Amino acid sequence: MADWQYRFQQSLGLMGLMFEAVIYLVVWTTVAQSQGGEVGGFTTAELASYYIGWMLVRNITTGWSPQWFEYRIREGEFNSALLRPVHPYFPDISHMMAGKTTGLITLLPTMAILALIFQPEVHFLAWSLIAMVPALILAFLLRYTLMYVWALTAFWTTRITALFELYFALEFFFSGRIAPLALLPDWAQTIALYTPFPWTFAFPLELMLGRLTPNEALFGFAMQAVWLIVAVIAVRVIWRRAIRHYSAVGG
Amino acid sequence: MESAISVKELSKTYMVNERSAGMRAALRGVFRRKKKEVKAVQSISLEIEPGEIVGFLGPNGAGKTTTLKMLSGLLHPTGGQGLVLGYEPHKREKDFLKQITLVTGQRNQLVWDIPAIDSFEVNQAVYEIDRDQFKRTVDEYIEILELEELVRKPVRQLSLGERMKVEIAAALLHRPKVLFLDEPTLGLDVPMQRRIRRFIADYNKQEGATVLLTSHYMADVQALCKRVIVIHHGELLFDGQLSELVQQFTGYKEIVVEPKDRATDLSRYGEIMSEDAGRISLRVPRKEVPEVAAKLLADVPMFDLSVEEPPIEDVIERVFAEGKLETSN
Repeated sequence: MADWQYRFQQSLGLMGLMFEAVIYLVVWTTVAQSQGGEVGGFTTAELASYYIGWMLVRNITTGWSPQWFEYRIREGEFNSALLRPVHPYFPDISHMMAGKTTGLITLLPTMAILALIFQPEVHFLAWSLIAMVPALILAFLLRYTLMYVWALTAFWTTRITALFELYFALEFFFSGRIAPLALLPDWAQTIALYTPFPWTFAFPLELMLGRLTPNEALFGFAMQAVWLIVAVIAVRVIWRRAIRHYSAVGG
Repeated sequence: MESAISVKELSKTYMVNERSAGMRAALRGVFRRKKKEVKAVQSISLEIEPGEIVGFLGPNGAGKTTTLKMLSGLLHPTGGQGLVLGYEPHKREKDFLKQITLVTGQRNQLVWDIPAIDSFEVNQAVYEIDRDQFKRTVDEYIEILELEELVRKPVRQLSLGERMKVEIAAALLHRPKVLFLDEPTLGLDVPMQRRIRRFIADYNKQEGATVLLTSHYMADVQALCKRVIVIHHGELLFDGQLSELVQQFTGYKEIVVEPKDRATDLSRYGEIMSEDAGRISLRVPRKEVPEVAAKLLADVPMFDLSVEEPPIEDVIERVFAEGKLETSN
């Protein structure tokens, strides 16, 4: 019985992912068609390729939310993590990656079916596709670590929700999740470059679609590396404080 | 020989927000928080040698679990110092964590949805257990605890007793030198309790491990612990042999009489503790036992008379209720 619970839960998650992508696709396609078939340099077929590739990137770059940490703390499950001679960051990553692997098994065929329906147009570039792989991994690590920082705040307070929602909203726009970055106004695109957000999502997606020059790719990798270092330092600093607080107040 | 566990004036004080009921108090609470100090553990000192099994007794809220959490590194002490195997637990050093284990009622070691045997494998990696030693340990525990049928099922499909057996096996895979066991037999049926007690006793003998055990079941304590520490309201009340606790520190024994006439009033011989199916338990000061027993035998027609130590539960209960130990005079 419980086995079906997991499959059901995961299917729901994937359906949500799929619906989100399709909704964006439909909306932007409508806009494009009303403008003569193109918006922000994207044809409707190119939009289709963006949002289908979107699904893969979205699946790979999820991370733990503060709510999940809050739950674990409340249920006392964090104590067992703290008793082990390994930093919880690592088993938490394995846990996350396990979910993604099983998700891919359903996701890839779904993407294929959607491709048949929406007729995307892509010009794959071999080097770009290969570069996408490390970019995806780094995007996952970066986004995961950034969310881990937020998740750690669950040790202090349950009232972080509003701030987190704001962060999430900014991420929606500046990461390429709601729309390709090229569709943002110029000033917004400039701001985005100073945030970690494009490197957690848009970067590997655009590599997949062969839309970047080699120089842009190198710049992207450099930004991913820089932001990852910043995020890791943030986790270390906050972790120490979080543990001190946790062990002062008790599990 | 250096102590396995060395505790000096260990304290833990929580600051809790206090608020009385009602709207006005709630509003006041927005502007000024009234803080109350809760002294969970107050200046406890003790030394435990390697290889000892020590029982930690106290009512709920006494500070037992808080002490265990401080000694296993989950809580920062607010005062004093605790050293386990020479380490300061709250520093959570890798070498320290590899040598201890904490078993509580909460799910600890096992991943809920996968077979226990897979959780064992995770532990092997996390604790960096040598592969051959790991296999030997797993086989040994499976045999001793009869886990053969259980380890391949997802843990959530096991009953409470089965889960506890597997939890304990997982907790001891890395052969820790110090065991913190918080109510390890809670909720288990008697045969299972016995099996786990035997397992702990054997482990202690084989590995020379130090065991600090809390339990509500006197049977656990009597079976495993020669030494007990009694804690109440965060304070250490007694640290010594269990037999001492019973003999020296209760002034009473129990005389159990089965009079031929059930309606016989025995209240002038001693304090009547209970009447059950014709057997009357009398609480009698130790010194007076021979005299009272002789009088009973002479005066009261009866089927049976026996003299017993008071049940340890009663001793402990009384200790807790009075917050101190009554010494015999």
